[in-house]
Amino acid sequence: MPQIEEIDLLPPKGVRPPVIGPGHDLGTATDRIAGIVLTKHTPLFWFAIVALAVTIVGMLNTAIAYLFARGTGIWGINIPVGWGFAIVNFVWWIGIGHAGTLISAILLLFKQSWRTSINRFAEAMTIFAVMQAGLFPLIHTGRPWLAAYWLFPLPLTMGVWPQFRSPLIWDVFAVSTYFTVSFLFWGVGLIPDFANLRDSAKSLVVRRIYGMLAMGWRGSARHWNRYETAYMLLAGLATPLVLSVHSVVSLDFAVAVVPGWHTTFFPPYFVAGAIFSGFAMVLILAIPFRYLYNMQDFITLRHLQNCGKLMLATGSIVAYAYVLEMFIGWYSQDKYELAMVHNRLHGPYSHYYFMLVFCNIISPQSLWFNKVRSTPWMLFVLSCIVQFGMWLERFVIVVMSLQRDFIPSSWGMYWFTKWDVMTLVGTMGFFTLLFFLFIRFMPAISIFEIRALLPQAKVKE
Amino acid sequence: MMTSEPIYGMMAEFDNPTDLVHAAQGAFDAGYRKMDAYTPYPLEEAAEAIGSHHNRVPLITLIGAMLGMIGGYSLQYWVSAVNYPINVGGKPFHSWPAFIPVTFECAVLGASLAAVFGMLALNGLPQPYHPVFNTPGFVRASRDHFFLCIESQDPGTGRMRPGVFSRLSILYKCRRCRIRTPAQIRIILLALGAISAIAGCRQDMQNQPRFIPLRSSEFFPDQRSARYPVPGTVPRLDNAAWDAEQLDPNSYYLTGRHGAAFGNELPFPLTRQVLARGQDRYAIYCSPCHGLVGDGNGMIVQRGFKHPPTFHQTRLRNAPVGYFYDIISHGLGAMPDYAAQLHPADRWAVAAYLRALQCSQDPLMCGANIPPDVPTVDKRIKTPSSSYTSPTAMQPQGGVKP
Repeated sequence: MPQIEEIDLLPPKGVRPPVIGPGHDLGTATDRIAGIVLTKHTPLFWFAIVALAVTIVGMLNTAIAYLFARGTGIWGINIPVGWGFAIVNFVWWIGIGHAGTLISAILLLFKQSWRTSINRFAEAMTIFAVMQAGLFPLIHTGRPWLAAYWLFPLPLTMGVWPQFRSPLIWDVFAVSTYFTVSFLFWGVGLIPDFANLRDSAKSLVVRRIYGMLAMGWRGSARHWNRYETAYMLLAGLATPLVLSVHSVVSLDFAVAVVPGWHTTFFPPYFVAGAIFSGFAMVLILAIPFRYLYNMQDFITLRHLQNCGKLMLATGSIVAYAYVLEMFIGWYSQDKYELAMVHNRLHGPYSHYYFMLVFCNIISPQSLWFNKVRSTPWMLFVLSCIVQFGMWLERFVIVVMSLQRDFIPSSWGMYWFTKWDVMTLVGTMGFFTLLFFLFIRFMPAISIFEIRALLPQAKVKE
Repeated sequence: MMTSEPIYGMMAEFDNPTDLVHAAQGAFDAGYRKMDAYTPYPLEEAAEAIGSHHNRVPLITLIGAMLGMIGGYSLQYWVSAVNYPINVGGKPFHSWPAFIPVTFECAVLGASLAAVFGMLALNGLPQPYHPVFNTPGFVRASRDHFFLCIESQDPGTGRMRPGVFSRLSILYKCRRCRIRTPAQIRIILLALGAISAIAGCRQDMQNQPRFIPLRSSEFFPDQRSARYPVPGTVPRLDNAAWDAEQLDPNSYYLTGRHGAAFGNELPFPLTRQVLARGQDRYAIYCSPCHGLVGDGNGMIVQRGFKHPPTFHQTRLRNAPVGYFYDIISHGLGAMPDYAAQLHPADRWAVAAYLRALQCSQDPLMCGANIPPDVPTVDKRIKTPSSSYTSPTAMQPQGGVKP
């Protein structure tokens, strides 16, 4: 089998890197991936990362506990900027999840077999990102114990119901459906792999645990037939769903008559931005994962290149949307829209806007070069820049439109507090914790789909 | 022992998918239908070869989508147009375009749940035990080997020709065990049944297993539900020294009367502690109506409750202390009895304090000597009522001046 270093070497011009490193058969591929879970020797870096993440989660808990004790006054929000970090972080995290569904559902429908190596952890990324996003609507009032009937239509004695004509309640349905469907998709994909872990595990306890999770899966051809049907149907359902989720999120803004928000191109703009940041997150997770666990022969340069290309494509749509935003402001000739454009370029937050342009428009242009698309560390750095840029985008949209109200006497500034930052960083730690627990205890790469990709898996005539 | 168990089927193991598909096709062509292939990844050709083409998952998914859609739309219509209509600028309550997003999400949710759980149900999962798991080496069915099982239920198995299995790598007899619910599932079902049984034995508070007072009972020979105390039952007592009085329901201690007339003395010695106790109880139970000075202007009276008579009137100044005890025990007019709140000893203490309260407003009543040069404010004090007779038996001892 070739060495890891050789796999990462760029093949000659005109030859695309393979989807799976050479030399694998059904057995070795299974053992390599299941080995991460079934090993007796948990690597030291895993403990280090989990310990760090747990510490950060402690900080998150502190920030949330203080929030519940004192109320939202500890945050930087005030009039006129009543929407602050909570909605910025919500939109950012929800967007990150979108690439997972794109990889698992849309690329499945398009029969893009390279998606197989990364779909499992991309789906996990989706679920964990939506969990972080869901945290913010729950805590953003500082009174989460009342969230039940604020969010969901519950038959209570008060007889109060949500306003179904509001995009905010659409959001509740979209996000909770998105989480449920993503979870089902992920869970269904895991069943055959749990069966494999059940059969490979040495210890009785481990065998029992994975045996329960596998639900008695035995690989029957009749079962596989129904399984594949259900899997494709889920993919078909998740595709319009994922497009609807960020469209609905964008309607939270677009339905309001605030300059900078009230535009019809928001839904496609938000969806493209979501997938853009999502692929950046896939790379941020995949590059350390393949390096730490020596998974270079399953997550090859081909995957990194393809993610880079998708980032370039969606990033270009986002860049187009930024241009369009400015154009619409000018084209409307509405004085408030013009003032918004002026505020973006010359207002007190203009440095945020120029950082955003650098992160999301200028830096992704480097992806035109094959060298960048094929060098893991460059992709990693670029993904971090893009991720920061996409966060800035939501900050710019939320804060810059609100801080200049229609009447100059109502203008104000927004400064986030340390509690805002602790909550944001805390969700990153929570996300990392969940992700590394997932890598340790569940197969992070879909084993049965990798098997189906191998040359030995084909029936010869 | 093992051989006496029925055979589930014949199991063949292959190390590549091509041989499996060919063997399955051969078996299918030979007329076998009750068979299944076991593969470590979805192998479309294997499903085709054993004659498994279509399934009902799409139909179930469609039903789930329809239910979700109808449910989502109905919820919004009922909430927005029927149960909780909010008029926003005269716009219609049944504003269907605004209901589309949630209807769509509900349809996707219903369809996804139906697809997953329908697939699991059709596959008969979760099913932790299955006879094929007894096949030696079957753990490789989830790794890199392929299995084909012709089940003994197939009418063709009895006349199985050797030619069909000639190309099989290894041939196993997979012993059939009766497929029964595994122990864990049975325990869980049993536990669930027990929980529901416990829930069925629920005891509501309005239906208590006790006798209502004076209701008859078929259980006891005398058909009375109320029982006498067991012979020899010893009552709980306040003070052993007054046992005799407390045990007698007609005693002065419990009635405040000597025969028919009220007594004018305490049944126990008057001490500072008794008066302090009386003051304490009075402040808690009596002052809300009677007021802290006993003038009947308590807080409840100030808020509209019936005004009780003041204690500082001739009739009550002359009333014997047993009279107060009796009223505390049985109530009078608007005043309820305080038997439940005040123990007999406490009632006597309150009665003693009442007398002290009366003295506080009329020192002469208690025989106080007011020097003539002391300026007085209240004429009533200077010239006490002529009908007043000092209740000498109830004079507070030792400097009790409230």
